[in-house]
Amino acid sequence: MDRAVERDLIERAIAGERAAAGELIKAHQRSVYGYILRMSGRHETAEDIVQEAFVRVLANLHRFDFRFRFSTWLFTIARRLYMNAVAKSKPAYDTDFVGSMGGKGTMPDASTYSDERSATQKDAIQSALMHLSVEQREIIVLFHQLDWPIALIASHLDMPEGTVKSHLHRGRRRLRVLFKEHKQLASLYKDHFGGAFNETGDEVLA
Amino acid sequence: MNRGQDHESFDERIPGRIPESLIDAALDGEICDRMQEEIAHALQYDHERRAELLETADAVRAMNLDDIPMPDMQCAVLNRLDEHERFIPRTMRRWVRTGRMAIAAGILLGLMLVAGLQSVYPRLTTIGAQSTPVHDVATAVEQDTQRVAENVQSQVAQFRASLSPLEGFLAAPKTSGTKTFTLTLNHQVVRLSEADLAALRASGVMLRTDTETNRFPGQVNRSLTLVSYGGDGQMLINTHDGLRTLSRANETGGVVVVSERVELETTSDECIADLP
Repeated sequence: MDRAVERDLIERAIAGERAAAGELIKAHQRSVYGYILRMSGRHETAEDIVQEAFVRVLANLHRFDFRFRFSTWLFTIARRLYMNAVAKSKPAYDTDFVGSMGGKGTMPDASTYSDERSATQKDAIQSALMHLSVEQREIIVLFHQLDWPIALIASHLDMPEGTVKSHLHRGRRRLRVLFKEHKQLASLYKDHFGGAFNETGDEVLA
Repeated sequence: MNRGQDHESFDERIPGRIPESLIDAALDGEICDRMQEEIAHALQYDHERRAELLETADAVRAMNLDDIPMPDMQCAVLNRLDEHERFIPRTMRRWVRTGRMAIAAGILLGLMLVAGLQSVYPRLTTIGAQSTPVHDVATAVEQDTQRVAENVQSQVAQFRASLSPLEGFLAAPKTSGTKTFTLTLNHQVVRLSEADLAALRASGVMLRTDTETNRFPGQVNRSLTLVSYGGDGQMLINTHDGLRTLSRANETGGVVVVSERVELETTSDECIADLP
């Protein structure tokens, strides 16, 4: 979105124009939803967090600093909410187990994310992403899915650019391998059961 | 940043293989067009890197969000914001704002009014115990009046009894409109006519006069009390000759020297001597 247009929408939303606030939501919901979905691996989690992020941002819109981008602020709030949700739901007892199964700091969601569900072509990438570390996953999503430049990612994550690149390169290599494996799993699953999956990933056996 | 320069001679460094860091740089979008062409050319011969790159591109493509079903959160978010009264119609918002301002102005005005009243009528706005009883006032006033009247009556009777030697004098009322003056000297009272007063003044004696309401009907008396006068130590004293003659005297070092005598008009019938 053009910066001038964005500014105009924000000013109108601050003045109480509901339609302008609606436009801001419309413009950013897909990207922020995709970001949180890729991070959490769950639609309902992503929906809750994104809604809450929008409510918080729009309720405090009068505090917005026009030197920054609206999207950056929104993503920061959404990320913080996501991290809080992770911290609340992370069980203390299975950190080693989860760590051995997935990447470092893998979400609890990852362990519950069914391999069977991810064994579809559509879900292979999500399954592969969930096996990356949180940092790798987040940086890959921001860089490849949302096209954020390295400098902005570094600022968003409060991390040196070199560290961001290091996570990006390592994560990308790992993702390539994992994605390949999950795709193969998906093919095997399909061959074995001869069935298909509906949109939500629920098994529909023939 | 153009990292292409760092990898300009990759063919020479690792013959037959494209360095992984160069692929990373390419994927990060940090190499120049010329280097990209070189990599594309080299990939024709480095099958392993080519396969890896294709797999990576495949994974990145799979991250595309277009196929992901996504709920429209516009209504849900706006409804939640409405619960916080974030978005209400402008007209209503204006009314709410005007109402709030009116309430604030009313409170301010009220405070100012109370402050103004307090400066003018402090008792009116004093919050606390008041000495005046607020109930049965009429009964209390009636009783008080009766008590005071009885008291006054008793005092008057007592006073009249003490003046029994002057009964005749008190019984004879003065002619209405007659102006008399009383002079108090050494706790004794003498009545002066206007001529006496004029004579005293003409002799240079400064008198302090206090008006009082006479308790005898038809008379307006002026009480003349000599306190000090002249500012030069002169005083008027009673010379014990029937209060008819007053002397002007000077006090020097505690010794009183009479300098002049003032003869008063004969007002013996008006003289009230030796009153207690």
